[in-house]
Amino acid sequence: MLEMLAWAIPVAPLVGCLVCTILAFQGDRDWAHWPAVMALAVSAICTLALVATFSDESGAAVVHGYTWLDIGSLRLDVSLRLDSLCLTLLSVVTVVSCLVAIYSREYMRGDPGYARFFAVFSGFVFCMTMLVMANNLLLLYAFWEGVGTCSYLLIGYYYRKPSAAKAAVKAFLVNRVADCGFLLGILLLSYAIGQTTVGAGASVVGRLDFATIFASSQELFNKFPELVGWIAFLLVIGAIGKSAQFPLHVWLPDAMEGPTPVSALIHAATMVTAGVYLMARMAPLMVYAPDVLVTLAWLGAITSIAAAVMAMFQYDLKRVLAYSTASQLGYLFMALGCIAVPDMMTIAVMAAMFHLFTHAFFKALLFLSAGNVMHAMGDVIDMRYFSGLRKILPKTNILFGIGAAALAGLPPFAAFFSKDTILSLLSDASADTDYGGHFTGLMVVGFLTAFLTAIYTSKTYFHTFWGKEVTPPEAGDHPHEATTIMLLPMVILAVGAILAGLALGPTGWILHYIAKTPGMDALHGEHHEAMWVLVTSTLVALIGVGIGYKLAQASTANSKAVSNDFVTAIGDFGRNRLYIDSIYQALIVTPSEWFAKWLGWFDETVVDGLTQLIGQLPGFVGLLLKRFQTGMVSSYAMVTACGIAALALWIATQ
Amino acid sequence: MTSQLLIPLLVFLPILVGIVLCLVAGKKSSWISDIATSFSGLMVIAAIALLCAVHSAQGNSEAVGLIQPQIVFGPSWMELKLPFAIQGHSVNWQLQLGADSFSAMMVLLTSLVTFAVLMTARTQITERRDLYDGMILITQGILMGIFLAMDLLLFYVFFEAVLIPIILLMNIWGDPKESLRASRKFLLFTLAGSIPMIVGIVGIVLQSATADRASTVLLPQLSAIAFESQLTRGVTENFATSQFLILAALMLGFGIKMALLPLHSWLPTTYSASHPNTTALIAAVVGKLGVYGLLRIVLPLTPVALSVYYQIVVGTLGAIAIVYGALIALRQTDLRRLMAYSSLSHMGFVTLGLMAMNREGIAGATIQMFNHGLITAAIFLMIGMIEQRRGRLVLGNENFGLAAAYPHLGFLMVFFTLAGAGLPGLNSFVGEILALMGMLRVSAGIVGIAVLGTVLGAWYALRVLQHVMFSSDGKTNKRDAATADIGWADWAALAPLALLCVVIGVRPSTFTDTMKVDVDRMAVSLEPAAKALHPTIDTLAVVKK
Repeated sequence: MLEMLAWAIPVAPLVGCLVCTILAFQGDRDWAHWPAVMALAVSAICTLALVATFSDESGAAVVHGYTWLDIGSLRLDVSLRLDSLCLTLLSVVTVVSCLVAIYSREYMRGDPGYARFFAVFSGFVFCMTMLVMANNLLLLYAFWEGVGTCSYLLIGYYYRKPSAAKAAVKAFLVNRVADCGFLLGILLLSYAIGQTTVGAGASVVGRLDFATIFASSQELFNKFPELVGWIAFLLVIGAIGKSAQFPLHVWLPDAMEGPTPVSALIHAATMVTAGVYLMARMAPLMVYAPDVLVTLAWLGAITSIAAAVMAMFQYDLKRVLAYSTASQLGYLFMALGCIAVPDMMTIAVMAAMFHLFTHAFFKALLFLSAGNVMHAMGDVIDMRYFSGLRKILPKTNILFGIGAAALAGLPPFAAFFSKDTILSLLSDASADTDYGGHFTGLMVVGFLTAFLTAIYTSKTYFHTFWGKEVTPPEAGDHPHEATTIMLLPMVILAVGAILAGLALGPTGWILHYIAKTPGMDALHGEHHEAMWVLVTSTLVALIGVGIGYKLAQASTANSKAVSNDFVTAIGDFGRNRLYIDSIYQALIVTPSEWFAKWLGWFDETVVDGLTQLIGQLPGFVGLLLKRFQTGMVSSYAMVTACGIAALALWIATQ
Repeated sequence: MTSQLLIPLLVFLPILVGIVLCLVAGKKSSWISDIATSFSGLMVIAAIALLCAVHSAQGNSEAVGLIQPQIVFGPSWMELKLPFAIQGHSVNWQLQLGADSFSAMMVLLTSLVTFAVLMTARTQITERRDLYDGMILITQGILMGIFLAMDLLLFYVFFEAVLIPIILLMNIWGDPKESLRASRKFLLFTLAGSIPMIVGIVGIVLQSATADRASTVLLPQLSAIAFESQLTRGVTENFATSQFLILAALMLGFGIKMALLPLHSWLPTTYSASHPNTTALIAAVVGKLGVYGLLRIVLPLTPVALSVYYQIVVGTLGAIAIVYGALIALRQTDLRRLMAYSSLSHMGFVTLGLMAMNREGIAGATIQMFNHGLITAAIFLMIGMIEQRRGRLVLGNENFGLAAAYPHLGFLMVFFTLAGAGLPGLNSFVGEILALMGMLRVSAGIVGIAVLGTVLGAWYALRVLQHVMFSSDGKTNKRDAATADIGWADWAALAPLALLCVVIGVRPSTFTDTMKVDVDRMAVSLEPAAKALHPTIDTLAVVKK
């Protein structure tokens, strides 16, 4: 029963993907969404059933599939691992994807490539569920690349648009850079595990199975402390690439070229959390590299504050949300950094997974609301061209408002609890003797980001839905509210955005659930959040919302009025993405292309020229022997014969 | 018993049918291509049967040497008596054809690619198609001969013979402006490689003879002799030196054929001058002959000298080729040349795997040869289809958006490009990861260079998709541009290749299980050889006495 349920979760979307692919070849049927929606529903139901019924004394169950590869010292099985960590993320993935698929039925209706959309969409869910359930690091990597490819195909969904095609390539390549590091990390890990007593007998057992990795990490650390640091560092590179953290965050804003449901599902709720999941999953190994973890936390901190600044100055509604996603993911990495502190692994992983869980709901809700706005505004998403939409989109107004309140961290919405869990975790961690200073700094960044988040969220919300009603000409005469089928999944997400925090956090439910994962530390007593953190963050959120409201008023009332030189300068800086993209272009991309061009010239003239020149040598020799020769073939034959004879003589005498 | 007959069937029948077709060609009869295609379809079935036979025959025979064909075809008439003596023994060489899993894999690849080439030739080749089909079949037979040869003599004869039909194919159907010069360059390079190669082969044969043992050309025997002397003389510098000259000659010969840096400059010109339909066969199979020779001859016969003198050097060259080829491909403006440099880059992984000299490496290299054959054949065939519709594209800042105009072609192009970029779940990933894992046990530095190839490889491949397939609505001002998408024949050619890409990616053990016995056998001598001379290398194989 367990096996059936476990396999149904990835296989159902796979079947959906295949059916939709066939439909895509047959022309875009209006019912092409059915296979996908059904498959995702099956997947979601199976996941929830597993969450409800799964209980294993060891905390984890492995469901075997088939032997993928068995050669040399390596044996890899395709098998699934079930434990509470993976079920937590799995329930987010399947439920949100099912809701977004239902939403897409109306959103994508009539689009050329309707079936293709659902094919890749289900393909993505297949890869993502396999990524989450993989029992083996290499299998995880395989589907890690798989979700990246689906993301590539969906960002480039409107492939006739040059900007979409370009954004897709950018996303894929930035991810590949990170994956390259990740892959090297995996290779090194498999090599190192082979040197341990646990792994040495692992010609039969997969070296890269998580159980083997966890069992051998202590010994690995004793034998090769430096190598473990390097492996951890390379895994971190993989994680920050997928989760769009500084300095590899550049692909995420461009990924908004894809259809809005894709942004909601892949680039907000699920795929970008894969990096967080990787770190959480590998926590028993990562704990041996505290320096790397602190670096990771700082990268998360830089991302969270820099992305918040960039979000503040974007005109594009979806990009505001994209930067906000990067910023919120930064929080998750700050939380994961606390694994470095002794005995805090479980709480750190719990905090990250908790915020991941709530974030998935409210961010998907915000994106889908943005999709409604986009639909009503005739695909215009630039906030300079619309405002005051509360009369046109009354229901979306409420739903966006709920999402925004959650993002801003207002109590009692979900993110209030999850964000505070992270902040109080950081405050606990700052008491640590070794790394306490770092975590104090990180906590300050956390509060600052919370403040900025509240500002840009409320600014965006109040600008879009309140104030003077302005619509762009593309919207037509009667812009309309979204249909019921679109609103229904959003309502469910909204319920999650309101209740998930209260239900999971203060009750301690998620903490005890995550703690059941094998490899996690035992819990030391009850975990309490500091009161001052709750109060401070509530104040910070309220003040931020107030400032955001003022800013929105100022910008809608008179957009010229606020522009003084200083604000313009910061605004340009923010809008130009802090010039990070330009720096990459100038320092990496262009030089590589020049180098490639030069190398092409070098190959065609120098290398080829030299080899040709050597090729001429027999010709010069031939000139001397001209009269003995009748033609080329015979000359070669003669040279051959002489050579063979000479060598034969030489060898025979040896 | 019957499975033995598959071997002469696969080698000689295509040559025979090909010659007959060439003779009756020119009668303007449409059924000739039908015969050729259906015949090559039968050959695919025969090749599958051979692979199955090899798989089921495993473990039946006691191993003599490191090479042990599971199926042998060596009737008594295949015996060569020469009127001279070596070390006092008269020359009486038994020749042999045979198949182990490496041969069977390459035979399957050859038959599949030939089938695809003949299928697409129905629309691609408009002039003298009957002759073309005949030549392709002759080439197929000779290639099968190379892969199924189990002695040095037949190997060399087939190895050189394949040049004749290739040169003809290049010149008759190639680009009229380039092909003459390109084929001359190809011929010169290859001949420059053949001479040292024959020298090396003669050296091996002469060394095989001792006072109480007659000389032999059979690979199983030769590899047994090599292993025996490795055990008796030990893995020593002294022993390595005695093989040095032979190995140097062989490496030069195979190095040119496998386009090892910096001996590769024949490759881009050859690939771009031939008709893409022909290039598919050249790039997929002929381009593998060098590495196949390395696997078949150099690795089992001279492992000690190889590990002393070449393992690290050639491994590094392979890693550099991965990056070098990918970087140059990044700025090419012609699709054919771009794919040629891409081949150079992908074949670097094969070199890397072979130079790892351990089980993961060899398995990875073999799988990767097969994978790259599938993918590169498909892409060159599709380049032919693109050129047929839009002419030779100049890649620059222009966007062609062909996926909008030809959705089926676009789908397949995206599929094969992603397969080539090493997407997990498709085939290349398997070969690359195995080669890298193998190499990592030798040198982390080389792997560090090679993994960069995964980024660069995706970069140029996606650039092609971005500009050729996407970014525009695919409309053109050219009046003669064909509007039809690819037809059933093209699908029939490419679908089997695509299917195999998926099978290998999803369940590589389908093939690696068959290879396992042969890989383990090779590793018995290779891993200790490498380990003894580079003690830091991590190796798991134990020498069996």
